[in-house]
Amino acid sequence: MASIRNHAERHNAEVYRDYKKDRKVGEGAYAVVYLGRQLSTKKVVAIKKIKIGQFKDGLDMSAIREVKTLQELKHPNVIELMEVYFHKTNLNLVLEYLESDLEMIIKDKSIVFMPGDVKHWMLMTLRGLDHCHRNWILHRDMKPNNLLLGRDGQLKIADFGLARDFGDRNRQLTAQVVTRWYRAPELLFGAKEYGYGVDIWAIGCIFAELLLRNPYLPGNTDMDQLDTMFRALGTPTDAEWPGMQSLPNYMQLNRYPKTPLRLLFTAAGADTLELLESMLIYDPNRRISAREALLHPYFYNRPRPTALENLPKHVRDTPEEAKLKRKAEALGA
Amino acid sequence: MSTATEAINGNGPDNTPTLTAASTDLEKAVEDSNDSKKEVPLKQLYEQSTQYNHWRYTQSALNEMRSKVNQEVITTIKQNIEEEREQRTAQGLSVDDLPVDLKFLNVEEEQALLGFYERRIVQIFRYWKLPSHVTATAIMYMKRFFLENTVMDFHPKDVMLTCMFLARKTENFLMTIDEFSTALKSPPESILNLEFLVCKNLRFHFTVHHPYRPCLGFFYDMQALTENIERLQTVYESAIKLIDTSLYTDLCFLYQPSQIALAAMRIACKKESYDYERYANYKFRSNESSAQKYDEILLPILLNIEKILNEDPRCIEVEKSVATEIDRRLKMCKDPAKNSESLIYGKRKRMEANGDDDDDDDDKDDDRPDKRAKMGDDSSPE
Repeated sequence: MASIRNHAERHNAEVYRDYKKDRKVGEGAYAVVYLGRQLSTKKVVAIKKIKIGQFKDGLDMSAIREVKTLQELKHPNVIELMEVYFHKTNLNLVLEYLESDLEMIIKDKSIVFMPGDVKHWMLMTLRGLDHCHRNWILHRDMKPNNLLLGRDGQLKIADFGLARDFGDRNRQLTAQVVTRWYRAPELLFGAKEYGYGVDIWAIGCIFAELLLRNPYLPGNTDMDQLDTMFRALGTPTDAEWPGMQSLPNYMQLNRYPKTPLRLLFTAAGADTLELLESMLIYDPNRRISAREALLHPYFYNRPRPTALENLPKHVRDTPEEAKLKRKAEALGA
Repeated sequence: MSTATEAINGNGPDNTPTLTAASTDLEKAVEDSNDSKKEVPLKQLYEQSTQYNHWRYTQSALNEMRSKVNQEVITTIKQNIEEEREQRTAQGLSVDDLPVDLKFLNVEEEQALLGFYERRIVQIFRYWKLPSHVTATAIMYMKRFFLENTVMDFHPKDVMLTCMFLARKTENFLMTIDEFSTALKSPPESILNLEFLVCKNLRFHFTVHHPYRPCLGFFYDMQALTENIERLQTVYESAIKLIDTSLYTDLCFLYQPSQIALAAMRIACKKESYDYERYANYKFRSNESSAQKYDEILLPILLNIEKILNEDPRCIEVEKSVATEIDRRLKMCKDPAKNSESLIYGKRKRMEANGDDDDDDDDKDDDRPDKRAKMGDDSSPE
């Protein structure tokens, strides 16, 4: 297309030739994910192909958000963006490949969670998120499905298609973010200015889900989400959340009393519930930050977080791997 | 504070398995894990940015890159003109329209033309009431693009439009291509066709840090030491103007945004006869070792930034007549290999078609032919 003198053009072609897509592992509305390899290193990777051709306005916002943020975020608990290249009218993101995610583990009822397991997953999630927030980046779509797990047990935050920078005053943000069950109350009331609290609320919901093995606040509609939330945590009062009534979509809803968390989370320790509660504080200004959460006694008290290699895994063999294993067994290897 | 960093980095008091989850910036902490009391500082954020790691140059490196690409394109265009001449002569066609003795643009002229278009970005974005950092991002995209490219390959007006459109997206001020192209009276295709190429040349690094935010930080910080906020406000506004000017220079490739911001504040203080040294003493000379660091490292940087802001010719507005004249000559310097009516254009196309055999089988479903980004004839300065 452009001049072969162009250095970037040559580099793009080189990167493109170094990766091979092996098979499709997922397909979304605008992207297809492939399992692939880097030919020069034999490294297994995930390649997310985004079809730009279908977008009238060129590169779309979610591709831009994902590339923009991941290029700046390098952390063991954040998925690594290894390369980006164009081929034809597709944008390809080469990402670390991780086999499973927290949602799969939660749903796999053959696995029993120990309190130390939950503690280590929370620890890794908060470390990754603290790194994002330290860089003034909101993830805005925290949910079990976006917390990937590697073979080594390492947890990595993924899917930054909704991520953006925050912290500047007078900057309007959209309230239409985060998957409903994990959406913070201020977003449900249409807040246009918000901060790290939206990610923390979502993590609180994930924490609860890990303890319950079921979604904690599964609302059916946006309206029902608030009702479900208030039923579980009590309807917030003005004293609890000053400023609530001035939010754009605020409305008076059913009043439910506050019930102590320990009635539902019967097996959880006091420190566990205290941390959970501080993540699910209605007033976003009083909600705990990722940094503060990491300093919470929960992470120092016993039980210690389970060692990485002993964390439960949801290992599914790929068809090729299963075939190879059968072959190996047949050969007595 | 030591407990804080320990928990965040997983360096627990008793040597726990969480250590393996420690972040890479803390490898040292893992090695020193016996000494768990030791404070582990987190790595400087700016040092992890793509801007710090990929877009820092010395002035001589910048000069070298620009003059290399300038020389290369001149050589290529000369060769291509000769090749075209030979082929046409062989086929008995006229060679009268082929240029002889072309006056190619030199690096300074390229920079002057770019400066002209950088100021166009400022005008248009100001008209749209976009914040300064969005303007600065668009300018930086253009600057980064033309580090390894020349205006003789890509007309700066075309690249400018694409950089503006892209910056609106990356800085969350999205405008649809229809609105954008209508407002700027440019066809949407030419803007979109260059988008991939611009992204590649930006190495897909969309985040750009500018001196505006650190300057606001210094403004807040200095308020602690003053009784006269109004005067300080004047200093701040004057510093912002200096930062606006710095965008036309190479400072963004040479120094960190916070260094440029402090230098701007320092110069603005001098201009407004405001006591800068009081702040410098409080901030940087509180003890001997930091005073030494300031005097030996930071101060020379501040002085050099001041020198560049005083002396760089790019700080002065490019006259339209000058830009028009450069642009007129630029039009003469066209590469025949990029002119679809030339013989060698056809020949190159056929060669490319034969060489392009590496297609992904998974990509069959989406075949939109790549359109060549045209060097528009209507791209004169306006």
